[in-house]
Amino acid sequence: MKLVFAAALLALSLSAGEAPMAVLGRYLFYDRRMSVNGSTSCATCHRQELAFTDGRARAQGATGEAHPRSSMSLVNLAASRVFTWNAPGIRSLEEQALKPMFSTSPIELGLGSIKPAFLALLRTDPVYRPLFPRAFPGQADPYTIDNVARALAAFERTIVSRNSPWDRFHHGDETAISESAQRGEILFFLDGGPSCFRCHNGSDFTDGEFHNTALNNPDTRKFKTPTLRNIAVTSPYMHDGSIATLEEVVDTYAAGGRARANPAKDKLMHGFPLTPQNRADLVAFLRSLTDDGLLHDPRFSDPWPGTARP
Amino acid sequence: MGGSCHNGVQIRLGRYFAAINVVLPIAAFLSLQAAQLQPTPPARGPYRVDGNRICDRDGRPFLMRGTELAPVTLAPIQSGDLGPLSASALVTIRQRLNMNTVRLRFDATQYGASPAYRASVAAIVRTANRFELLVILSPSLPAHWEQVVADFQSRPDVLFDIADDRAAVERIRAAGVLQPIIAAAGAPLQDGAVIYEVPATYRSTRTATDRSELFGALESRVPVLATGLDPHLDEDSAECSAFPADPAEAARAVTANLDYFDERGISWIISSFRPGRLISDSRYFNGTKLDDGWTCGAGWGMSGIGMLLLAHLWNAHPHGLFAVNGDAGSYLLARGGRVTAYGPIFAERALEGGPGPVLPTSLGNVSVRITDSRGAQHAAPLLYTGAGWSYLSFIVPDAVAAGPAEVAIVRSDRSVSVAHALIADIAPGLASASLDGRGAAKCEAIQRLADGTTRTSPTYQCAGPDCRAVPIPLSRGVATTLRILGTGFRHARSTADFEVTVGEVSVPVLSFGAVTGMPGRDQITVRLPDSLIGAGETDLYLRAGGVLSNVVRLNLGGAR
Repeated sequence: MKLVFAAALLALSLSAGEAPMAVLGRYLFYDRRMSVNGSTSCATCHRQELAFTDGRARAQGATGEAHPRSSMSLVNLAASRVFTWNAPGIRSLEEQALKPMFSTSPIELGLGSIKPAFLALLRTDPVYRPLFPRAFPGQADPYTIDNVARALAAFERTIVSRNSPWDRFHHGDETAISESAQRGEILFFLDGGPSCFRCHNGSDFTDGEFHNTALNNPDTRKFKTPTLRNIAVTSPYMHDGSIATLEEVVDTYAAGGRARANPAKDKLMHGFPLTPQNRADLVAFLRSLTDDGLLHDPRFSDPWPGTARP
Repeated sequence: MGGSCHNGVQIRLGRYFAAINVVLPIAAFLSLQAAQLQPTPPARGPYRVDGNRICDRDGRPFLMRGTELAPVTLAPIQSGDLGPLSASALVTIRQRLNMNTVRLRFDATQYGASPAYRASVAAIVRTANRFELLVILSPSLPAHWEQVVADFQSRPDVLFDIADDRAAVERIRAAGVLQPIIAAAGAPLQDGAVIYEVPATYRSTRTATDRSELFGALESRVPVLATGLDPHLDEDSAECSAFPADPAEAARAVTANLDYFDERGISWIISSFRPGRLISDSRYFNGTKLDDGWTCGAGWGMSGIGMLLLAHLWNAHPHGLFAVNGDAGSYLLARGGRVTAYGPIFAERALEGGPGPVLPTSLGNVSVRITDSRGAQHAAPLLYTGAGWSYLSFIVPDAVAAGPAEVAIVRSDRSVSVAHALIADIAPGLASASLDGRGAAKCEAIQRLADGTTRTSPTYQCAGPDCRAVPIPLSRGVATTLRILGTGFRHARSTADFEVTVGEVSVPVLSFGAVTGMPGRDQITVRLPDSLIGAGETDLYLRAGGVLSNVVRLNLGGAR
């Protein structure tokens, strides 16, 4: 019964015209069998309803080990040049996908110790057996880790968030966002004021660069500017998940950072005057970036059938 | 003075387009006028009262749209300020706020006792009138009306405000004044040419019913002037307490009153043009806004309704895009002239369009599209874009037809922000050294010395963003010409189209035209007469084709 249902779903996916590699990637993304103890999938740390974050301050690997960073959102990665919080050398999603599979410090999925068994599973699983040849036609043995990474990357590239109230507002729906959010938008984009857009710019609100935001002393490392799309559902915030609410985030930036004496502090962390009204408006603007459709879009949901999910 | 006023709105537009020599296809005119900003008609006295209307000298309905000036004092202007009573302030009220009236309060005792004070009041009135503003003179009471009337009764754009000194009507009429008189609302006066002032507050105008109760009994019978309506957000005041705490709700309260006045043909003088009220400073005259919230005097605060009034008079949204004359900051843009659009630009980064005579039509992710009164679309050459919520400078192509137009910032993500604009053949702006249309003029003084040599020097000096007018060493026997930079006047027909004023002296125009290699930049050359030697720091402005420029400053040196 399980196989019939899964195969039916698969047929439905393919008939909808989705790219075979992305379809495969979606199954892999939600497959807990990719982890050392069958407890964890990519989706464990990247939950759709949380814009593909996990709601934790720091991610937790399959063995319970805490990751030093907070899970990043996966929306609009197709437009991104850099991935992960502080590894500017990783320049492709395929490369990035390998990291959680095989990292050992900390262990995320822990796939390294079960790699042969996992590849064997892919060859025999009734869902994967047809999906790999479809996704990688012409390959004698498509059941490889490289292809797993390629498929995951292909799926992640389909996760596009471009229909927030703010998007609709800028395409003619004048009632899409509140007047408070409209005021917040002005502040956000105001040079000489908060100037948030100096780092959070472009259609995804990120410059794709790395900055030291003076969170901790003496941490002089730089971290990627995250997208602000769907920011309201991705708490807690910052690379270390150390700030619980958007209001506190705004306050921290207004103060010029938490560790203001940090010598590596980015010069854009200048602080700014903030009235209670300004703060409420900025947060209203940030909340207007939530794309509710994305959070419930069935194209990005778990494809494995309910309780029968592996 | 007989007859009735013509129809309102059509006449307002008709006069405007006559003034700027625009001929519009009727269909284009009708389709664009609904959404357009409408220039508030200039003061054109003398006035008369016809039923509940005020009529101007052409018999057209006249609505006062204005604000109160800071009270007249003899205190020197603070260093770095232009002063809330300066020519720059007055021209800003006319051109940027699109108003046509100011109320000037002054101390009657000082007026009677101090010739300097009296001269100061006279100078302010003269300047305001030159800049198309009607002046309501409001002396403290009791006033020496005979003296005030004698000083100003010949000025067609001055009205006397007697407040509740009702006996003053007869004294003023006895002096031969035919102009309408402004009096506090109360029992009707016998005089048939009275405009009744109704002070309003946000407490008294919360609902449509409130407004009807306050104004309704009068508005159908006599001309009404609504006054007050500043929420006093920097004070622990009853008016601040009554003002809605949410900025959006507060904005709706302000707008509801303004809309009511428009619908009922009620004149208004709202708030005052001074820091903490309509403006936040006396140098840049930045409009106050409600966005930052307020505390009724308990903490920070420079909130106010300045931007709301401006947006209402521009028929725009206070958070929308505004396209203004690049040098003057006014609503009228010229074919071939420089324009600054400010507001939601949302360029991803700041970029320059130049240097070079050929400018790009896109910078980064933004471009500008102008739809003219004939419906033709034009890509505008771009000089500069700031990043984010900022400003963008562009040139209006010569091919753009005069008349109402739409200026759109178009971004690469296909989102658009739109401003309504008025394009004219001539819309002069004078460049200032600080690039903000005020302060030191961006000019060059060219002097031919007795020995035949020529000396050329800038008339300004800047240290960072702060610029000042430096003395031009004028002297007899040295011919001094001034090369004035600006925009929007290259399409004048001849030097006879210009009227250039320096220090209240009309100076001869020698030449004008576009500056080669500087897109959108025009120049005009004038001769400075000997009568200006030693005049000190003074104002420079011009009219081209009848259209007023902004005011910039010159320093005229030399021993008198």
